[in-house]
Amino acid sequence: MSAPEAPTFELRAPLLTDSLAADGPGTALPVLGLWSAAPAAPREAVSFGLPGVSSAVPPPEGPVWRVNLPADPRQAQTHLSSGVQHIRAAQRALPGIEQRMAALASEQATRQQGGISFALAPAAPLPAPERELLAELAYLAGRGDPEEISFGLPGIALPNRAQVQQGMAQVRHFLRHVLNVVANYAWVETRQHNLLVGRTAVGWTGDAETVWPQPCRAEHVHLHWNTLDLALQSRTTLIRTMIIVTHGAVKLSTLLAMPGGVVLALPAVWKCINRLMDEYR
Amino acid sequence: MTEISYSITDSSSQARERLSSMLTTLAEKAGQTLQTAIDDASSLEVITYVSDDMGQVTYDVNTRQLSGSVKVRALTRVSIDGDTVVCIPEKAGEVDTAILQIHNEMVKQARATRSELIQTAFTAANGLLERMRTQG
Repeated sequence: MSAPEAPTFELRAPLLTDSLAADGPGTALPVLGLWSAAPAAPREAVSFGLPGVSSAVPPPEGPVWRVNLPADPRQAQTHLSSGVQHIRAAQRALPGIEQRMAALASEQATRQQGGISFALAPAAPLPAPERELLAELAYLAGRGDPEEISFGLPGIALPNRAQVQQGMAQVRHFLRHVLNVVANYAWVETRQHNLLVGRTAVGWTGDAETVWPQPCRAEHVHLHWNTLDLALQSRTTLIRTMIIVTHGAVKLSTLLAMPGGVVLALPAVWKCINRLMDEYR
Repeated sequence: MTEISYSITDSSSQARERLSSMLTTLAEKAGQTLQTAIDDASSLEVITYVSDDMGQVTYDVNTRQLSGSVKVRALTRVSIDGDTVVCIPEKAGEVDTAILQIHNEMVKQARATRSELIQTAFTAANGLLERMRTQG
């Protein structure tokens, strides 16, 4: 008996071709914990149809959300549904995460007005992700040595230089994805056992062009509808996440009180939001 | 006594500059996209094609249409004032209900996408206003 065929969820983007090499390993985290990041396919390797069919078709200019599902229709639908649930869970988590970031920033601002910088021992005990975020910001601002900060926050491992730089590379990578989806049409492809069964170009205002193979089978149509829904929901979730990350960094950067504080705070805030996202999942 | 600096900000200044540049580019692109979206918001267009050879299908970014080995089977254009143009698919003198059903579902999804876009744009704009208020 053969092993079940594994699905792939890929986000292929032209801008990533250079950046993946430049930023090094460990930076290309799966987008929203689902889509593996891949550079755009080179021109000669592009084939939108049957495997093995050569094609001179140029690759799309924008990002391609590509799902390849197993040949078995039930397995294919199950994997796709599980992907949709994963993104819906992230969407449900975002408002709560936004509130937690706002509450943290607000409490810190109040304490700062009272002359206390960095509430390492806040009035109410903070959850681990928030405590770790504050510790990282204090560390980045150079307000204390790592041992003192760690002593005040037991169980928290502060990042070293290499980890901070890796964090910045990861955020840059995340922002590149956002840039790609913001700047371009969404290209959505559904494949089943590597056979292209539906393809759609969707603009920002919802304009959509879809091509179906002829003859068009009902099961393929349903798979592509679900893939399209998954890709569009992912696009929106990616942008909403970016908005929460940047707002959080802007608000908390006042604690750093230094030029470029927003940029410096971004990786720490992004990391915290990812941890919160894992909690909600 | 040796002074030890625990600040890591100097060593990562290059990384910060790259990140800062990425943020600037992102903000510019977001602005451009929003402008294009506003310009395009006067109508919604959904086109359904079929193809005998999916491998030869390309997309022209300028005309915003698929080309190559494709046949248009259905088209819907909805204007901001509610005027709607629909081209219904036909097969052997009859309405091709199978394609029409698929197409109608795509129109429904396109409307939902637009509504989601407006919501996201408002969220982003609200955040921007809030930031301006707190900084002002």
